[in-house]
Amino acid sequence: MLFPLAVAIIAREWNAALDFLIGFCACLLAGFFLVLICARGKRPISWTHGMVVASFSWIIGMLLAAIPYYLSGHYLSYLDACFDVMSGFTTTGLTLIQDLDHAGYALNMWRHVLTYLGGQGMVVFALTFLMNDAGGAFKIYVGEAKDEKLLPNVRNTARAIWFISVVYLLVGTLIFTLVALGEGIKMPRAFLHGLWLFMGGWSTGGFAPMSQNILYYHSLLIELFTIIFFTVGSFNFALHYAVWSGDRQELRKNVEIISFTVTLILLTLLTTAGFMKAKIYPDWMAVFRKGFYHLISGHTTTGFMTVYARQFINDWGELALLALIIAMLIGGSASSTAGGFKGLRMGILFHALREDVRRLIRPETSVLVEKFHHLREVVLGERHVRMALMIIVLYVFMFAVGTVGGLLAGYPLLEAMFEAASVTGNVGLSAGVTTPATPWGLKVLYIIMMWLARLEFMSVFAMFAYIAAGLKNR
Amino acid sequence: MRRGERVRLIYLSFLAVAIIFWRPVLTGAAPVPVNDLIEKSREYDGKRVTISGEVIGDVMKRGNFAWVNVADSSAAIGVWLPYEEAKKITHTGSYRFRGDTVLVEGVFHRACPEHYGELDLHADSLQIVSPGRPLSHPLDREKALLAGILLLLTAAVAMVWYRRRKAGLL
Repeated sequence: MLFPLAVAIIAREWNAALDFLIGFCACLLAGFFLVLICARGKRPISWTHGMVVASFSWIIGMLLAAIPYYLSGHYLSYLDACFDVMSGFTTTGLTLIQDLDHAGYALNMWRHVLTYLGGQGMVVFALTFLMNDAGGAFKIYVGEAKDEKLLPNVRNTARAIWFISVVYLLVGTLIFTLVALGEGIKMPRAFLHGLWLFMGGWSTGGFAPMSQNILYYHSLLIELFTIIFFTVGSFNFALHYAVWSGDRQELRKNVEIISFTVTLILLTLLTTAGFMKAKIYPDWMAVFRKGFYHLISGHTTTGFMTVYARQFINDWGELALLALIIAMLIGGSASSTAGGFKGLRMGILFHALREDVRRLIRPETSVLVEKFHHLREVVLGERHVRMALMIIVLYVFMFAVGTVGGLLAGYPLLEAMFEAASVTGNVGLSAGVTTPATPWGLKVLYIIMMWLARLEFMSVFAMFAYIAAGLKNR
Repeated sequence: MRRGERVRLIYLSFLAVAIIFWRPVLTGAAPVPVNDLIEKSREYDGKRVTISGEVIGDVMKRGNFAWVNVADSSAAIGVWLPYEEAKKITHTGSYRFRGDTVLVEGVFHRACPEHYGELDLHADSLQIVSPGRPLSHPLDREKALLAGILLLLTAAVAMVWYRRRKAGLL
C-alpha cells in the first residue's frame, strides 16, 4: 500500500493518503499478530501447510486490501470492496465500484497494482521480495496453482517471473503512453492510462481507469496493443522463460500454444457465423473489433470490453454468446496470469482421446506411446489425464453452481450462464449481472468462485480439510 | 403601459418560460437517457436524438474531429463531433473537477459504419448547459484521527516485536 500512498501524496489526494495509511497500519498489525500466534510453531512446512498458507493468504489479503477501497467512499459496502479486491487479485476484472470516472489517481493505482500483483501471484511476490527462508516455499508456491519451476531454486523462479513481468511493464507502459498521447490524451494522464492499460492487460485482469473500459478510448491502436499484451500475458511463464533463453521453437511446438490457436480459430468461426446470422455488424472490421476482440479477451480471460455489457444479451445472438462462454471457460495457459481450465488440460485431453482412437485401430499387441510437448517431450500418463479431467470436471461443476446461483437470484438463464462462465474463468466480461445492486448472496458466491478458480481448487480444499481435521482433533 | 414596454414584457415572459423549459425549447426534443439508447439501440438506430450529461475524462482530438465521452446518471456514451464544437468544453470530469454539463444533439448509431461497429452518437452541435467546477475534497478529520491512533499503535507493536526478535523470542 506504500505505492498508492506515495501516489496519493504526489497527487495531493489527502483523504486517499489517509485511506492507504490506515490500510497500511492494519496490514502491519495483522502481520505482527500472525507472527505472534505462529511464533511457537517451528515444524517444517508440509504440503498441506503450503496449500493452507497459499489459500488463507488470499482471504487475509482480500480483507486487508479492501480497507482503502471501502474508506474511499466509492463502494456501497465492505462486501463490495472485498468483491473488487478478490476480482483484482484473481485477475477477474468484474467490478462494483461506483463513480469510477471521478476516482482519484491513488485509488486507480491501487486497483491496477492489485491486479498486476494478483497476476504474478501474491505468493510469488512474497517469495521474491519478502521471504528469507526458502525452505518449504515451493509448497506454498504450488498452492497458488503455479507448479512450473523455471529455475532449480524456487526463489529464483519467482524472481525470474518478476523479471519477465517488469521488463514487459516498462515496454508496455511506454507503448501505451505514446499511443494515448497520439489519441489525444494529455500528460500526465497519458502516462497513467498507459501504465494502467498495461497492468490490466498483461495481468489478464481487465480493469481500466474509466467506466466504459476500453470503449472509452475509441481507438483501434489501443485495441490492437491490448490484444498483443493480454495474449502474451496469458502464456505460461515457463514458455516466456524458454523463449527468453533462446528456445524459440517452443512457441511452435508447445501444446498450450497449439491448443489455444486451434480453439481460438474454431470459436472465431463460430462467433462470425453467429454475427452473420444475427446481422449485427456492418463490415468485417467491425466483426474484428467487436467480435474477435471480445473472443480473444474472453479466451485469454482478460475481460477488456469495447461494447456495453447489455449489448452481449441484446445484440450478439445465442450462437456468438455460446462461443464466448466456451472461450471464457477454456481460458489461457497454466502457470500464467490467466484463468479458466487452461489450454494445457485441453491439449492433454485431446492427446488422451487420440491415444484411445489409435489403440482401437492398431493391433492389440502393438505398444503405443502418446507424447505431448510442453517445454520438453512428455509421455502421456494416466496421472496427467486424471488430473486434467478432475480439474475440468470441477470447473464445469462450479460453472453449473454459478449458473444456478444466478437463476436463484432472479436472472434469466443466458445472463446467469454468461456471468457464471466469466467468474469461473476469472475473465471479467459481464452481461450486466454484476452491479452494486446484485443480491449479496450472489456476490459472496462469486467471491468464493473467483478464489477457487484462481487457486484451482486443491489448496482451498486442503484448507477446509485442515480446518475440519483441526476441529475433529480438539 | 406603452406598446414598447408591453412587447418587452411579452418577450421577457417567453424568455422566462424558455429558461425554465430550456432543454425542449433549444433542441426540440427531451434528452434521452444514455441507458435507454443502449437498451433500445435497434429502436433508436439512425435517429436524431438529444442527450444531456457530464463530459468525463478527456477531449480526444482526432484530426478535425474529437471524441468526448458524456455520462448521465445511467451510463456514458462516446460522442463524435467537430473539434470546433469540442473546444467549447472548459472542464472534463475527474477527481478534481465536475465536468461541463452539456446538451448534445446528433445521430445515434447502434453499430456505426464509420467507426467499425461502435455504439456512438455523431453530434453536430454541443451546448454547455452548466460549466464544470472544481470539486472540493476537505480533509476528513475523523479519518485523520484514526490514522494517527493506528500509526502510534503500529509503532508501539513494532517496537515490542523488534525487542522480542532481538531477544530471540520470535
